Amino acid sequence: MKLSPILGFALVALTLACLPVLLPDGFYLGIATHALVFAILALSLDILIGQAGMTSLGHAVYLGLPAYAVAWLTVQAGWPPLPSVIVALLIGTLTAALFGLLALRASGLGFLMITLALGQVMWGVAYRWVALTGGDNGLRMPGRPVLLGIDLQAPLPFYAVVAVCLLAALICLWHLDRSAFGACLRGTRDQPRRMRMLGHDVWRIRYAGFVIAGFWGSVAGVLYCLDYQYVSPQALSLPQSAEALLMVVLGGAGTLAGPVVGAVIITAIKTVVSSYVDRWYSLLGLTFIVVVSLMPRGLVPGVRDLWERLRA
Amino acid sequence: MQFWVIQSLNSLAMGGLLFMLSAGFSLIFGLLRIPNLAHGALFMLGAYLGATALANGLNFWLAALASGLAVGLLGVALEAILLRRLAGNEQAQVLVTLGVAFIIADLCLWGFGGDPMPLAAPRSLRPPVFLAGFAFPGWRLVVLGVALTTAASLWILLDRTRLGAMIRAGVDDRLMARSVGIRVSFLFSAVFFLGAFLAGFGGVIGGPILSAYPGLDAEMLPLALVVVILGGVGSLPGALVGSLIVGAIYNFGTALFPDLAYVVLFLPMVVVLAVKPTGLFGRVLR
Amino acid sequence: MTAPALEIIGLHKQFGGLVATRNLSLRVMAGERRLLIGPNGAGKTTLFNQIAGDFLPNAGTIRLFGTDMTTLPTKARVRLGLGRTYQVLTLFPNDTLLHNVVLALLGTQGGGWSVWGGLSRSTGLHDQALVALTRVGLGHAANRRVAETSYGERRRLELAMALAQSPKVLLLDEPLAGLSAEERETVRLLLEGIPRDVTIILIEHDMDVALAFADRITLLNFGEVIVEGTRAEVIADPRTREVYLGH
Repeated sequence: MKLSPILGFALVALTLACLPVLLPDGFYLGIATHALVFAILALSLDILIGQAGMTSLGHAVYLGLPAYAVAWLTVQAGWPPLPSVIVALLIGTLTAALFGLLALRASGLGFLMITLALGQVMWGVAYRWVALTGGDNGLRMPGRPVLLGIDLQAPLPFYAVVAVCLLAALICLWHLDRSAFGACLRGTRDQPRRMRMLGHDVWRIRYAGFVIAGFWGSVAGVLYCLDYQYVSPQALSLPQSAEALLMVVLGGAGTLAGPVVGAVIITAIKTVVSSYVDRWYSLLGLTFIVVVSLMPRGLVPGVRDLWERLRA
Repeated sequence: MQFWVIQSLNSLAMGGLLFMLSAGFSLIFGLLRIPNLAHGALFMLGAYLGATALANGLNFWLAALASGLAVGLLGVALEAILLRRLAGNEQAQVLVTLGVAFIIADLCLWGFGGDPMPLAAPRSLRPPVFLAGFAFPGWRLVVLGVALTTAASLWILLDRTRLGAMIRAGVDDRLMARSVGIRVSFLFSAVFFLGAFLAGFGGVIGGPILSAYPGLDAEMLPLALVVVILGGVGSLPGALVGSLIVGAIYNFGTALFPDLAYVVLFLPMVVVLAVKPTGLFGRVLR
Repeated sequence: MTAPALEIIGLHKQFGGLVATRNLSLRVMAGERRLLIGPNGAGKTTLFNQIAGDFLPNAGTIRLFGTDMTTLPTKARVRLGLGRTYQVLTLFPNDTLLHNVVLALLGTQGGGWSVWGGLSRSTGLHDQALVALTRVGLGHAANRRVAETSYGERRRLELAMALAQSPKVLLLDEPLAGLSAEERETVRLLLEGIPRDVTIILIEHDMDVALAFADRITLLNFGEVIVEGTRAEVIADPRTREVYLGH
């Protein structure tokens, strides 16, 4: 089943466009919006995990930091929405450029530990620097702004903006995947030593991948802030990083569909579970163990294998 | 003057506590190549179990040993049931320890509630000790003493016993250890027990200073990471020096810049990464 | 007098208490075929690793055509004209043979930063890659994935990737390892066909092929040079017998 890319994207676009009609009311549309925001976050993390082969446990930095930036700039500093959003994206991406310098001093498990520690630094700032961040109470937005002439307050227009952003992310990452740079990034994942011997600058390739992941993570972060109109240290926490990682691993790292599927499933479970019990973290932990132990490659590659076996 | 002397002692005590936390983490990482992300949760579980035991009238030291034992056995089970099946897949192993961390943290919240549970130090060791005209909090001296005793015992265990020789061989070269006939699975169980025991035991010993509360795990885990990144993986002297440095920064940071203490804590890690990414005691961090 | 293609002076490398390379000096002239032999653990691959820059020596100098590259990063050495194949295959298994070679070309020719246009569309690189594959007799299999090829074909791909970069000095680490007699002959002919403007340093245990191929031979043991000379000289030297047969 080889889908032509144009047809594939058209199908995704059509599905996204039909979703508001198919869903019964605004409540479900809101949940769908949450899922799509996290899909962008998971896609950005998959650049590191799937393409570059580096597992980050600090990706919530790029969700939470730009979210804080948007909230603080619009509410505390009174900036108009558009410059706030642009500066927030810039802050997120520059932070990735800075943290990448540190995290890429190591690879493998060292990389994982450093990203985790850096994530905790940002969490610590948000939690303890109460004067700036409101501490545990977080920052609240009075409502969604009007951006580029679009009033984002109602669920439908905001959903449309998020859907367009997701589509843009999918197209960009698809492009990255088949570009020369994408091939080099995968090369550094599979055979870093060989890549060096072929004359490539492995560090710079990884660094570029890290910053690109930071940028798309920041896009998710800005949308997250506008979506929930609220940001707290939770958005920067280790569980948040782990949740994003689980989305990627559950759906299937290294595929375009995997992180989206993972994000939709995790968001759905979280929404359903938290309305009945509040043992979400136990369930998150259990899902982690089950997925990693029984389905290490994730749903999308697993289903694809099954499909190919059935056709054969 | 009073400030600096007292804070220096507090720093040493905190450093000792961090050593109890990170020595086990470092050993497990060194031997199994797994950063056990459940280590903070094991520390917290130890603190909660200790608090419960104390509330039921158990002697403090017995409570600490019992909690250490319980947490140590949990560690052995974790390694034998979940991690061993995933041997060779380091990333999967890390993610499983993370999953376990979430479950432990959540079950602690469920079982022990959201309010902090204090742990009272033994009555006789509580009063301040007067030395050279300064009043030192008694328990912190005890913590420092316990940590130094632990460090010495670990050193003897690793350096002077057969088990220790096997562990050191395994940390240096796992294939080599296997090929000279060391039963690696037994070694893994032993190290996991030791690491988890130290975490649980340390949780109780640190209890009178930190107490047991939700989020203690998430606060302690990064400290263990920083210590190990600073000191180098699998190195006991590295863990000790790293702990003392981080302990000092934690204390003076909290006293001098309360808002940013938690951030200041990570600065030495940043410096070490920039200058010498293998850590002060030189193993390659892969 | 022109500088030697590769000149190593007083190279020393120690891992803990283990000396891997002991005060080793070596001169390989341009166009020469040099064979490195020695028992397992003699330090042959460790020497290659240091020439390639995988790790730095404790002491000594490595020059390529007179340029000191002792402390240069690997990619700079590649730019100076160094190429290498590995004893253990290090290919990109999920990509096609063609893409493997394209990745090699991107390394020396740049373009690895391009995010515009698919990799499959950069026809210039593709033509060159196809030429390199055809040269080792794999032109017909260019679009197969590495995972779908035989071991012998992968060995040749390994060679094609190194040759595609037009190296001036090529380090070949056991290019015949694990091949059948027929495949050995194929690879032998390929090696014979490499033009003389490429200097080759070869590690190989297949003495039939290697001895016929080499101009000069260096025998290593315990990280140091024991004997060096022509085929006849090395074979005749009593120290060679000593290394291989014991006393």
